[in-house]
Amino acid sequence: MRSDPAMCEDALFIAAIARNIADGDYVHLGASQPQLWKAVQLARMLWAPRLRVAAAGQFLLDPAIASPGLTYDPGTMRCRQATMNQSTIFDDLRRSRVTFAGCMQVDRYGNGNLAQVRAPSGRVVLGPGYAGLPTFTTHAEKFFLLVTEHSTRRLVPEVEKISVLGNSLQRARLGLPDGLRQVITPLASFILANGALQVQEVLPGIDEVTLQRETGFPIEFTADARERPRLSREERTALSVL
Amino acid sequence: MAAPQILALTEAASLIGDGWTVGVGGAVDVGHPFALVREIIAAGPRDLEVVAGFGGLDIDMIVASGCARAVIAAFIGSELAPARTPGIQRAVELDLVDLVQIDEGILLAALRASAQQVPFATWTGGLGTSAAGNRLCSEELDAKTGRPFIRVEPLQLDACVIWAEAADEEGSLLLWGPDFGDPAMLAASTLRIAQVERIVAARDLAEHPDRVLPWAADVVTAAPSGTFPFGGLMLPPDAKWLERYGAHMRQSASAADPGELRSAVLQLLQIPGEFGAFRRSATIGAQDEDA
Repeated sequence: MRSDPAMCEDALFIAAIARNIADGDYVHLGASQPQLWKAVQLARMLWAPRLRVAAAGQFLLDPAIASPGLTYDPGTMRCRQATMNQSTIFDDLRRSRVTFAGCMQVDRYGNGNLAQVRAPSGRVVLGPGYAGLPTFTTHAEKFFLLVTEHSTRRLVPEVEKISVLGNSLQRARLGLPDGLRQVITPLASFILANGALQVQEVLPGIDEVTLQRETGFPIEFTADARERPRLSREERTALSVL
Repeated sequence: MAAPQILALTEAASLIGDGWTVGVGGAVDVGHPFALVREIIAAGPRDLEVVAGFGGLDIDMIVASGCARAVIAAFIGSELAPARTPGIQRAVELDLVDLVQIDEGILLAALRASAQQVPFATWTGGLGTSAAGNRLCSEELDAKTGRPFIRVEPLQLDACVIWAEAADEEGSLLLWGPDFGDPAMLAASTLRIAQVERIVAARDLAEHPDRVLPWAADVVTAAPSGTFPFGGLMLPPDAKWLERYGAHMRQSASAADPGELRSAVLQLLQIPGEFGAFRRSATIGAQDEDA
């Protein structure tokens, strides 16, 4: 079943991300986010021609002619379209970027962790750090958490460190917008409902038992939970050239 | 104001004192003043507090070399090397270094507070997260609105070391492109050291006015291709070398003796020895692997 290109797990993961990108959105890509870059290109090619993108140390005024690759890659920097200076990156938090934060862990309340996790042995394993995600997502009215591996190690009852505050009750207490739209994994997409994550979309071929086995907290489904739509012909064609 | 000094790498590195708070510029795999960082590692100052925004594996090397007692950073890692930060990981496990992981916005606010000589900065990015749970931050309430904010203490740097494309003899710098956040470190530093590809006349900098930071360095040292193995002016980051670093350090980090970490770093960086020889040898080594 998974050999069907329209249902390939990685391709559908990318599509699930892309489908949340609207035309005119201003998306920020961080370091080491190749799947997000493909999702951005997919969205721009099919339904978001006015997508604004900040990636790899530059602003892409015309994403059609750019392929940034590594952050600040010297080869692409020579042809950069608009310079993104790290010193001023937080100067305007009124017009928040749409952030897709890649996380080491996400908990049932929608909080994300990039700082450190505790292995079953008790050993603390360091992550890359917070980067600018706490600031980017604090005032954001639209952000997402991405987990590239759906497992009980990654989807946990409670994160060790909160890098991204998704918990709607805590955000309300702090006077922050309720910005977390979805948590997206290769197997499922979750939304926040009544302060906790609920499954809204599931990869075709994954049943409830399997999904629960791979998730580190009890799963509940939204009333409108559905199968993750298979790739359209247009999505498949676009992904084949990316 | 005293005239800036043009110094050799070893002389510039020797200015870093024990116990200093030192900012290191660049971001991820590009723009690090690595020739200078390598000389600092060789000089072996003790108990440094190292500060980085988007730090690369150069920060891992400084920690593994035993020079640091603390690190404050928003991010440390590489987009090229699979191992995260083997030196820092081991140093934290051995309780040799205090790692303060911080939000980049909070870090910039702390540096600006120092530069602008205000008692503290206010910030709201990171409210409710662990990124604000460190010694630079405390959550307070605005007396007028009752809304929470983060009070951010100033972070003054004794020195910062950054990379730029060129400098003149008055310490004006020509940035290569994006600023990596380095100007915030420069402004908060008592001693500003810039490693550059070349030293030129002021009129040459003036041909690129939008990229010039006037009189931004107190010390300038020239090191062509001095960002190696990280990316720079015409130099892509050396993925093979960085992967080799990660693999080698993962192996060395399994030892309990911190001295083994320093030995491993010195071996990889070919210290003692000159940067040019290290760079040529490391490049040749990679070519041999390709053959």
